[in-house]
Amino acid sequence: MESEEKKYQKILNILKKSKPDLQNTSEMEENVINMILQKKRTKDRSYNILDFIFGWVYVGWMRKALITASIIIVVVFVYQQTVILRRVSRLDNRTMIIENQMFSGSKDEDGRILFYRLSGQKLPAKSIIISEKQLDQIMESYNELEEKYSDLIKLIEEDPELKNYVEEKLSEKNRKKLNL
Amino acid sequence: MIDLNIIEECRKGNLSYFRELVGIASPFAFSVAFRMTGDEEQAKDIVQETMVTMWTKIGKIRSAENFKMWLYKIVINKCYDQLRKKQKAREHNVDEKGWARISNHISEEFVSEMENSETALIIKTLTKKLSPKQKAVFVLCDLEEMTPDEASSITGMSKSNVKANLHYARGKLKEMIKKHI
Repeated sequence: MESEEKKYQKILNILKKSKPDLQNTSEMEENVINMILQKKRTKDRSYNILDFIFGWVYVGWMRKALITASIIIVVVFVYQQTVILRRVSRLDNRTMIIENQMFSGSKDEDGRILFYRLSGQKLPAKSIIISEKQLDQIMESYNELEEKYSDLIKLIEEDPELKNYVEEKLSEKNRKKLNL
Repeated sequence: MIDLNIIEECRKGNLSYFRELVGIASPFAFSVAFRMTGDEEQAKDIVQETMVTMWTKIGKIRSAENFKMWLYKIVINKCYDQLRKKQKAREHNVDEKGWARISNHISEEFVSEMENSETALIIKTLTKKLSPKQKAVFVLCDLEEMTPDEASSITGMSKSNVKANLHYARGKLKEMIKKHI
């Protein structure tokens, strides 16, 4: 171990003593200066090409026009985004209204009864979502049914005996339901 | 020590002063680059590139005292780049010849100064197994005789990292000496 340390120290001494010698520093200076000048020349050339292509951006009125155009584009973009966001939030409200109509009922009394029946008083809130079109179809069919049986309803209402009989039967039916 | 006036003139774009600065700075840069790469021509290329970088970034120098550190920093980074490229290219095997030369030098009673080609062969053989970071700390601390603090500011490693790398580098070198001599 000791001998390795000695050998290592000797190698170090040899290397320290033999400092790398840069011969011909003037050649190095010349090369470096040439490289710098060459770089400068290529840089200047590329600047000229860039000036030729994009030089117009330094023209005063062109600059102002570009600034104005960019401001207008930014404003239009912001406006568009606001409009889109507002529309999206409105769309969200619309679906909420449909849901509300379904469960809490529309202003139309018949519609409210229909939904009440449809839900069977058992549906938890927000469990079914139906579209406006489907809603219209249901309403239509309900009105059709009402129209078809309007004579029958009229007949029952005109005859008190028949009315009593029907009511009795209905209450009986309800009682049976309760017993169940 | 570099005169601050020279640096000031270089900052203004005075090329004749920069030529003077190259004359003063290139031997230091060459010494580190040569010891890092173990190749004279490659070291010269690194020095040239370093000097060009120095010209473009001379505005960053705040004081003449920091100049040498700043210069070494550029050299070390350039050496890292070269060593990475070299690792990809894979070198020829110089082991046997190199170790024979090292062995001869160790057996000599007096330490004699070597020529660049001889030094290059020895450095190449000796530091072949070292990583670029280990090479850097070995060159800076053991050959250029800098303190770990100085090596830390040049390499960008922490002081403890410098010490650890130096420890591993020395260990590896001793292991190689044990194996080959």
